[in-house]
This record gives sequence, structure tokens and C-alpha cells, in this order.
Amino acid sequence: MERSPLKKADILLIAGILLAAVVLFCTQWLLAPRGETVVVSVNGEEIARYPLHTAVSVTLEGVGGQNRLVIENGTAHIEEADCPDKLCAQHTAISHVGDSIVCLPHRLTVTVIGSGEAPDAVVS
Amino acid sequence: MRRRIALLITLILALSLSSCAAPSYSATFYDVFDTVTTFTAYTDKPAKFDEWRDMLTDELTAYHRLFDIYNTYEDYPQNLCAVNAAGGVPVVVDERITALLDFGRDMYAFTGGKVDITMGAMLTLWHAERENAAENPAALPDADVLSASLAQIGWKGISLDSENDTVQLKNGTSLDVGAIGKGWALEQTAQKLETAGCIGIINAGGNVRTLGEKPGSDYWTVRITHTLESSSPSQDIRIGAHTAVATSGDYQRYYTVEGERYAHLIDPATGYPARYMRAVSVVCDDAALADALSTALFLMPIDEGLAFVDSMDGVEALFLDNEENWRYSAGFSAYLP
Repeated sequence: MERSPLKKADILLIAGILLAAVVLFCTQWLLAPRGETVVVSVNGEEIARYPLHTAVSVTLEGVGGQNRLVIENGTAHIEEADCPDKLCAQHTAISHVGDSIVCLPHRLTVTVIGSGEAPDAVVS
Repeated sequence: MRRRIALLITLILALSLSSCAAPSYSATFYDVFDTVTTFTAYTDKPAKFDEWRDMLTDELTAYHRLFDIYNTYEDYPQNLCAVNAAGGVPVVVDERITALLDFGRDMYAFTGGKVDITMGAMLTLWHAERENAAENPAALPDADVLSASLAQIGWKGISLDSENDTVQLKNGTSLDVGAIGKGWALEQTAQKLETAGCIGIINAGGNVRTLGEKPGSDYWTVRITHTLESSSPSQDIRIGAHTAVATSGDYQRYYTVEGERYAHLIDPATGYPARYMRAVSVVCDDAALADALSTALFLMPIDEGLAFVDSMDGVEALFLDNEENWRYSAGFSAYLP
């Protein structure tokens, strides 16, 4: 009678490792962001995040002033701000992963993140 | 033997399922060159990232202070602001300023005077009107004052002694290194980080420089987006290790006078903003050269710019013309997806 190349214990070990990998993969997949999210940072620190596909109008506290973020129809823009240059409020609405609006005076950045492939750098 | 192979295959499968790529870390800061800088690097050690990030901020902060023409700093008393304020007296400067001015002189010659860091007096007139327009009705600089300032530009106004790090301005000339300062600072900083073994990408307000190959990919993706009045044309490009991208556009810093847009990119030949195109991006292996060339190309007709780019090795450019059509240099397709 030919001997089996793998013992029962080996098969169990292999099954165990594969099961662990599948569980790990599924958790990562489940925890990965679904759809796009708008992340707000002040001075490089995240202060809030909002789903891009839920309408909202919210006042953000930047450094030394405020910016009102409006999310509607799957896009985000700064409706108004009390910064000196108002460049953030002139910026067109953003919706693509990696897009961002910066308010330099308030050190505030609004960025779209999501499950899609984001570029390594966005220049504008 | 077969048992070992089976276990090995299982482990490889398990590892590939749980996808273990080198983690990346990012930092954002707002303190240098009046823009937002983002730094991303790949490493297994968070402490290594902190070390690189501190190196980056220290370097860029030093260059920002040295090249600042509006403020003086206790730690850099002999910066460009001090040079401009010296009233024609020779000033001993930091060797990093000498290196920048040497580069500025080379670029002045190479671009036929399009890149001109002696335009300080003229750019100050535009800067003042741009600032004023935030609070008051927008106006153009006085035409007579502007044309008088045209007479003060050009390298005849600088006496640079590179050996002794001494610079002297003549006949009311003043410096503004806006066209090259940020790119130069970025290139020097990037080289230092590369020497320290850093793999990553720096985006200093639209001036991009890659450090090494992107882990797990054949290229870094850079999205060039122009935020115009009614549209946002966008083009993704793929670049490799040690590559820089710089962009000059009329929508970046501008103000409006009687419905007409006046951008910050002033043609030294006329004293007024150039209107040949909406924007131009340059790709090459040096962030300082990319910065200088994007300014030079913005100040000449697109066809002239295309011929200039095609005459250089290792430099490519992407133009957005006034009708919002993309125009590419001969070898640019190598960067397209």
C-alpha cells in the first residue's frame, strides 16, 4: 500500500493557514472604504470626514477662521470663507478621488478619498 | 519533500491573499513657499519616516527663509530681502544663495532672458495691485512706472562674486526668485533625501519630485488638473524614479481688472502677463530646471515652446492652449497611460 505524502496533521495545518488568509482578506475587503469620502484636515491633522454622496452644509474651524463646506450632488465645494484671499471659495467643486481644495490662510485642506485608484500626486 | 513544497505553496498563497505591501506615510505642511506641501514615503519603520519628514521640513524652511524677499529672519540675516534692502552695497550671502543666483544666471542665458530673477521692482508693482484688489477696486500698475521699471531689469544689474559669496545690486535692481526658488529648493532637498535612502514623492504646491521607484508599481501617477472658470481639464501622467514635474498656469495667481484676467507670470519683454496659453507642465529629471522651463515656456508662443523643448534631451512638455486643447512635445507619449 502506497503511503500518503501528507499526514492528516499537515492537511489540517494547510487548511488552517488558508482559512486565516481568507479571513484576513475578507476583513480588509470589508473594512476598505466604499464610495468616496470627503476628508477635512487642519494643519495636516484630520478633523472630520463626510460621505460624498450625502448632502451636507457644515462650518469648518480652520486656523484663525471658518470655511463652510457644502456637499451636494456628489461634489464638494467651499461655499464661503472669512479668509483674506477667498481662493478656496473660488475653487470649482471636487468629486474625483485625489482632488482637493486648499485654504492656505486657514491651513485647511478638503480632499476626496475612496476605494478607486488615487494618483500619487495631484497638481493644479 | 513534497510536504515541504505543499507548505511553501500554502504560505505564498496566504501571503498574497493578505497583500503585504510596504506601508506608506504622509505629512502635509503649510509653512514654506506660500503653498501646501505634501510628502509621502514608503518604509516599514515609522521612525524612519519621521526622520525624513523632519529633514524635508528643515531643508525647505531654510531655503524659504533664505529666498524670501518680503521678510527678514534672525537665523538667516543675509537673505534675499537683505540683499534687496542693501541699496547697492555688496552683501556677503549664504552659499546656498550664491548657488541659486548662479543657476538663475545660467537660466537667463539659456532661455534668452525669459527667466529673469532681476524683475523684482516690476513684480512688486503687480504684487501690490493684486493685494490691493482684495479690498479695493482692482487697478493696473501705472503704465509710466511700469515702463520705467522695465529699464531696471536684466543681468547688467547684478554683480555676483561666486568665489566669495558676494552679491551687489546696481541701479535700483531688485531680485525676485519666484520663477526658480521653489524648484531649486525642492531639487536640493530631494537629492538629500535620496542620499538618505528615502523612497517617496514630494508635492510642493504643484512642483513634484519623485524619490526612487514606487514600491509595487512601475510608475508614479501624477494628475495634472487645471481649475479653469467653467471646466477642469485633467491629464494623468506616469513618471519613474528621480523625475520632476512643474506647472505654470494663468489661473494660479491672478486678479481681474474690468473683466480681464491678469496672471502673475509677467513677460520681461513687455512688463505685462503673457497670454499665449492657459498652462504648461514640464517633465524632466531636475525640479529646478522643470520650474525654470515651465516659466520660460509660458512666456513664449506654444509653437516656439514646442521647438525649444524638442531641441532639448530629456525634457518634455504638455501645453493647454487658449482653446483648452492639449498640445504635447514630441516625446511626451512616453508619460501617457
